[in-house]
Amino acid sequence: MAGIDFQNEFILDHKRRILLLIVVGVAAIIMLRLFYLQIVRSGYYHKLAISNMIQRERIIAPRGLIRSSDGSKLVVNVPAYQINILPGRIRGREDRLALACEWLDIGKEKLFSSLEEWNRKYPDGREMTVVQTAEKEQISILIENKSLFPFFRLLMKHRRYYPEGDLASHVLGYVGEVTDEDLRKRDDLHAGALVGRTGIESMYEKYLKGEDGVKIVEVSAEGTRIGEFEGLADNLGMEGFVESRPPAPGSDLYLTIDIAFQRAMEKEFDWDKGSVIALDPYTGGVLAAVSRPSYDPNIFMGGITTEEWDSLHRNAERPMFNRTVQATYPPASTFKLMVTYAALHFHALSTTERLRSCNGGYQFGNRYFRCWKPEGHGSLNLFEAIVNSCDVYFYQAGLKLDADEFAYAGRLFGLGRQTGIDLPSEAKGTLPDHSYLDRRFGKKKWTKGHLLNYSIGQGEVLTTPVQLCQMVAMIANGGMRIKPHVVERIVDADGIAVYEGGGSAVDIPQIDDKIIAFIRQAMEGVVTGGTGRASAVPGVRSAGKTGTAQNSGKDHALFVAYAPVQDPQIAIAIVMEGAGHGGAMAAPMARRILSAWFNPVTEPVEDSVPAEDADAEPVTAWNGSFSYLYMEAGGVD
Amino acid sequence: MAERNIRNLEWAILIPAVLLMIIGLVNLYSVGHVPSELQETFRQGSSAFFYKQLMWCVAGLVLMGVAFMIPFRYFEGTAVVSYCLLLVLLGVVLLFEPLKGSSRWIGFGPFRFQPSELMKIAMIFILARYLSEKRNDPNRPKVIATAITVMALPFLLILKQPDLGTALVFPAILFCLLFWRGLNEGLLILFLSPIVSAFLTIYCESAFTRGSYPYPLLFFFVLILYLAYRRRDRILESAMLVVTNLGIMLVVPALINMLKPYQQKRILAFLRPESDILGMGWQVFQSKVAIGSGGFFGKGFLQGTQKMYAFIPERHSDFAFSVFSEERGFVGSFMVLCLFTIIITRGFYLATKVKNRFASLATIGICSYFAFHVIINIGMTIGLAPVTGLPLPFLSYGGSSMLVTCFFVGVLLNFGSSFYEY
Repeated sequence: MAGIDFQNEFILDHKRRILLLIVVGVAAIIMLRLFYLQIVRSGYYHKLAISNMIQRERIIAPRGLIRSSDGSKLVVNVPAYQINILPGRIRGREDRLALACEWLDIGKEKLFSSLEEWNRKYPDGREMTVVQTAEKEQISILIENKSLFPFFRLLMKHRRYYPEGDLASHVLGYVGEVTDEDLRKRDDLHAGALVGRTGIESMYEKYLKGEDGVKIVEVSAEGTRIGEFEGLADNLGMEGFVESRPPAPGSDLYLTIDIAFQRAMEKEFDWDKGSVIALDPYTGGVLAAVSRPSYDPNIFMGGITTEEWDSLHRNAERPMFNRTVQATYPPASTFKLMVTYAALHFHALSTTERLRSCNGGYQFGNRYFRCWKPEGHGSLNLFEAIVNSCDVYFYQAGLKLDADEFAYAGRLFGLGRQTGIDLPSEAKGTLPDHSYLDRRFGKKKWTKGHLLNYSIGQGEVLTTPVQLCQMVAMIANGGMRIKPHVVERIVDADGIAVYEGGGSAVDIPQIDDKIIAFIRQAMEGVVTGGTGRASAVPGVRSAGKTGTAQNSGKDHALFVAYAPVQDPQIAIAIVMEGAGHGGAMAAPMARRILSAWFNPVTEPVEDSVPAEDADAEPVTAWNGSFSYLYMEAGGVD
Repeated sequence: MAERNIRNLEWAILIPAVLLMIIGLVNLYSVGHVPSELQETFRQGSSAFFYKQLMWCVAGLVLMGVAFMIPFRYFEGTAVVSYCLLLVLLGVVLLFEPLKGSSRWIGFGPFRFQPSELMKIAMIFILARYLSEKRNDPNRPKVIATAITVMALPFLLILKQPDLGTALVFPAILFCLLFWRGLNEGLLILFLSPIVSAFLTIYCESAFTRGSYPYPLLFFFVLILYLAYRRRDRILESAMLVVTNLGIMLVVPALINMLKPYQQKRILAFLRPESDILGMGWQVFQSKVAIGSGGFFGKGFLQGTQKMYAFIPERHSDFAFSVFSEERGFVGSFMVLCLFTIIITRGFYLATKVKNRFASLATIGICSYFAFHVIINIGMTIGLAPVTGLPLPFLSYGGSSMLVTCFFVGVLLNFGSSFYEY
């Protein structure tokens, strides 16, 4: 028999109760905890378990194509493989990464150092792109050694490709990967997405980008992709879960651009700086547009290097600058058409009235304003003044007009404000009226002398090539408002038109048809026997107006035209920076471009106008610094 | 004496044990199961655990039979020898090449075994034998010192491996044995309460710095005051109890503040895994997600997603319960917990009824072995206990653990059928 201290049943029972209490108590705590986890919080953990094993995979929607008016592809998508690296999976496999570098022919030191930098910048372990467009060999090495290099990810991406190179590059624009700043500003973007940066790629981003699809896939803890998640139906309605959804491809854009004509224009416009734009005078559709210098948007495709980017952006010639809509130039003599309209509208002149004879210049106050033709034009009526672009005549016309009257006419024809063309960063230009001049120079600080300059399209007035083209198109169509546009229609993936560009021409009742008719006659006179003779296309009746814009360097040559006169099909505006005189430089260019339009299959007609005739506006006529000196003189009265 | 009467068999221990063994096997099958459509993505081979464990179960049942059949005097008789032998082995194991960062295993032909597991048996038997002697009153300092030394030798060797979880089993068993042998309760409380105080202080300190109140600590202190009040007749002991605990509660935070930040972090991560969600806390978090997402009835056999996609760490060993709980839900977890509780409480009953003092003490030792393993392992999977790597008897994969567990069950059955032996 054991001692009483131990074997006494009473004491043992007491101890057993204490032990039981402890064991049952702890078991109860565990039970309560299990109850809490598995019953109270079961939904929460269920959701966590599902989000553990699923991953939302984005299926990038293919971007819409851009086509010319006949359906030729101007911008397409090409598949490209991108090699990404997952920094989180490298740990402990540095030797394998070194091996991979050797096999894939990637600079090891450079990769390691950029990885280090990347990890510092993004400690969240996001993937870094190693190769933008992988070679076939690299792809097959990676696929064969998937398990050896678990830190690589091969991504199939659509890249933008511009099969015509720099053709209409300013119109088309280009795309780029979103920047961190974009991502912060917009929540509908994801890292690595392509967005339009400029041109219609940017203006029509909404239509082009489509809607990315989502695929819900099951993923193991090691990141192994199992396949599409099938239990989704049971778990729908759970906050934060979405259904798989196929991507909706972007819509295709059909441009008003005529690809054959665009090609011809690119070829004919052999000047290194300037722009040409051709509009359909009735619809406002851009038939072709060229801005020089230009660039090949494909360089942005493979991931542009910093040096390339810098050379494009720091380039003094500004190749990225779309001169057609962004550059403003003095309209020069082309503005005389507006002065004519204003003078006739406000009855300052009659078509038959002859003003003081032109002797090569005009004395106004203590200033002498020269005509471009030093020997003078003699006494002219309005028609002859337009045909010969006589400055002295228009100085006198300007004196009969008020600044607001200039502005009235210009505004009717769309100058001084954006045309609303569907290209980014369109400039407004300047169309000075009374209050503008007051603001610019101070009340009563500006004089009639300013208006003399204004009347020949110099001084404050500035226009973009597209505005000039719109102006001449309105003259061609008999005074109807048109909206210049590049995109004719947008067709979604199902073939349904979702957008129509432009809209129909709207007649503007204020525009006096009789005045328009007069201007049209005079413009035809310019081509048949005036300063624009060099623009004449055999067999086509065309109408035009030359212009020579003063510039601190060599003058800009301008020419606006439409043709054929009896049934206008095309309106063009040409600006050749620093080329000299409109009649000598821009008019022959107009002839070549119009020939290409009217004879699309035949080779462009060789110079048929004798060279001496082409020099209708002698280079010596203008003193380039004239206007500049005048402005320094201040209010001369 | 060697005859065993089948009617005296402790069914209340045998049946839950066999059920748990089956549950563990089936669960291991699920752990190793890979759905056929996924076999290409996942490398195969994990079903090896199931077949090995099946083998260990068979071996365990044989061992259980042996432990049941042989007279328990042999346990008492061989206790000292086996204790000394295992002590040597524990020393030897430290010389072996570390595996997964610690040296726990000794190679034995194709098998490896952990001497630390066998040491649990040996220590229970040697302490039971020592304390069962009438003259060894546990309130005598010499007896306490001897018992602590017997415990401390393997404890320190195992701590050196390092295997803190296993090492902690030894003092836990010792306290239970001393308590059962009649150690003065006041003394026991005086020993144990500072440990609990220190634990709770560290546990609550992080809560306190986060702005919530350290309720568990306050509660425990009130309990201490109550115990001191109850034993107010022994004023010195009561005063010491209060002073020691209060001291611990005040000194420990100061000590922790003296540690370097990374050390503080490590201690905190041990006690509160979720404070370190990217390290140790990750395992516990995923385990909780698995258990919680199991819900009331579970996801179904072989259906656990946390298991299937390897979000649960150590699925076949330490976190086997998480896999089970995910697939069988609250119902299954409740059942497993009940089965363990039945074995343990029945063991307590046995310890009071058995006439032999050695058997009574050994029974308590075995019960505390089960209780400690179950509480710490399940507590770990539900985020209540630190991550120590202590296996769950019957459910966790492992030969040594399975054999020791089966042996213990056999010993309990043995004691149960020889109730009246002295």
